[in-house]
Amino acid sequence: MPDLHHILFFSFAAIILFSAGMVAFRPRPVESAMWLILNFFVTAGLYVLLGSHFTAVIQVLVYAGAIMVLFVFVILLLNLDPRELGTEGGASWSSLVLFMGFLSFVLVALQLATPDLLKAPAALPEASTFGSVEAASRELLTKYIWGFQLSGIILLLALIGVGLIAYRKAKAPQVKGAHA
Amino acid sequence: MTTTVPFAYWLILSFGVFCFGACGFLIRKNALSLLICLELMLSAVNMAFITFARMHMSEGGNILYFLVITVAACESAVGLALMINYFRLKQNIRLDDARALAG
Repeated sequence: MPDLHHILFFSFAAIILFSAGMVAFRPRPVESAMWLILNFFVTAGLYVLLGSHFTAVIQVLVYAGAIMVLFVFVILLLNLDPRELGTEGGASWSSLVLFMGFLSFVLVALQLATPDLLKAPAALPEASTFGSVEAASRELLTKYIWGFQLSGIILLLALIGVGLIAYRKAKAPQVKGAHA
Repeated sequence: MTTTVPFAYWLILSFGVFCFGACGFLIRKNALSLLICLELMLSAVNMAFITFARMHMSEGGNILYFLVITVAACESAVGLALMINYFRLKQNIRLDDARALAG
């Protein structure tokens, strides 16, 4: 008997898998980016189904909002000729299959080792604060404070690095028409 | 609203998205698509983290999600800056032409 959660989960999962396939196999980067934005939005819907509301909001704001805007902006800035994109293919499919086989082996072993994974999960207790802003930020600012500080340092270093890269004067011989 | 779908399905979905990302990463030939497929893989891993957080009713998975998106933001910013510099030098972003270190 399929209930509402199953229907929602499987329709979201179908959209996510389809858009992930489009991201991976559409030839032009701008199409990939647009499908990836759809993917992130529907993934946020799945996080709501899991009860992790704050994470869903962050997914839409930071991933779909900030990071993907950066990507689309760079794609538009570069304004690539389709001929400059290069041809696809050329991957060694045997190594790809080997890699995927190993990963799926790990997944199957995990589920054989913990049969609870296949049972329907217990409902959240009424008093549970899982996924709320308060619970997440309390953990983040007490138990995981060093990780929080380190992520701030990482962001600062990335900012400095990007600044250094972006303002560097190009010394190599320039191709015709390059002005930067 | 809480889920009644078994956690195995969430993990399999996350694995499927990760596979698409990895396939795309290995077959694409331009740097922009490579970065986009990286983001797809990171998003798939995030889905697994959130699933495990819900499974153990612990906020640790959500915290790891924040750390991963921090790294994803840094990585995409640095990668895009490098790509723009590469585009200034070579007027394309084909990775086949980036052989200066290949010896």
